[in-house]
Amino acid sequence: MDLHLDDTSLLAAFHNHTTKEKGFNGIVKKYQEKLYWHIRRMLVSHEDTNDVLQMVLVKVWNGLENFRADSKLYTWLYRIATNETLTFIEKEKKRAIVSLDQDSDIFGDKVKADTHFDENKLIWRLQLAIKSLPEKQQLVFNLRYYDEMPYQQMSELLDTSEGALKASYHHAAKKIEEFIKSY
Amino acid sequence: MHQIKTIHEELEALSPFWTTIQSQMPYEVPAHYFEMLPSMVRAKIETEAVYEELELVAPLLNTIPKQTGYQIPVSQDRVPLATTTVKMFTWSKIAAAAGLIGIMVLGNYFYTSEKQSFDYSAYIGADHTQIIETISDSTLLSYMDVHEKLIVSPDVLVQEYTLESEEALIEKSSDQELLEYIQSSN
Repeated sequence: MDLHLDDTSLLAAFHNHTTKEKGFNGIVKKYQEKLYWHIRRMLVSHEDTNDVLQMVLVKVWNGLENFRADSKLYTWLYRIATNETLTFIEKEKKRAIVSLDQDSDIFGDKVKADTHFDENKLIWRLQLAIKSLPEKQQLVFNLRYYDEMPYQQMSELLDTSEGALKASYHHAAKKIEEFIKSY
Repeated sequence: MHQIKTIHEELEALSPFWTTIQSQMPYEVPAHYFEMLPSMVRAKIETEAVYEELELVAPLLNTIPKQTGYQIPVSQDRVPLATTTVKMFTWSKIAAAAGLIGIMVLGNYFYTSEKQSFDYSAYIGADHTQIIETISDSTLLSYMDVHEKLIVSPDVLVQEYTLESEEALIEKSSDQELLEYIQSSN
């Protein structure tokens, strides 16, 4: 399946019984890297990201039959990935509370646990700074900064007004700057 | 391109600090991960389908771990168990084969040796008087002591039986006996 096929052709292939598998594989291959990094920026660990991404793609397989082009495929995929990621984060937080470890910075610690972590490097400090933000603000920052997503598309994805998203992004950028300068 | 430029300009407008930062992720992804992901997802979809199917038919089974409970020995001292079993099996086979060969050899030996020791034609044609003369008196006496009951002494009377004639037998037999004899003979 040609990765350069547009979403409409991939969806048409999926809805055709004889090319369903090929259509799905085409969608996976086209979006897997973007979805992977969207999840990994939030979860840090590759293993957690892999688990969540597989779960997302299974949901895509099950839900794609009923997907109607009311929204863009790209936005729909991101929405599933975002919801699954936030659900995973909530579970991790609850687990930390149960283990009386609620004061620890779970994901900040995961950044520090990376084998290549170097606190003297700016790109690693940036990751620590992003992890210090609330999850929703992290999402907004990541989607804009790394995925370069337009506010209009982000608005569809997160069901938030473009103005609120812009304000959240600017606020996040300032907090990150302060965090890195004071580290 | 215009969109990207706008995003960078947006940050630079906020602070010149952002011009010093690279929007590059420091994390690494395992080699060939994205090549393998579609097949991993395919496998997971199948697993999920099996789970969903069972959930409808017999949900209790989904709560039971799929491990069989059987274990394969992993420690070094347990591995030779299998080797020992194999060895024992080999030794038992060797022992059985050796026993069988032994039986065949012994059987052949006794069979052929018996044939050699019992040469009946030579035995029948032999001169017994000459043979007895070669045997010492002491050997003969000890043989007679052991086999005394089998040796007929000249002092013991041997009852002689004479065959009766047919006429005498007929006279002694009853009519009924004669009738049965005639019927059985026919």
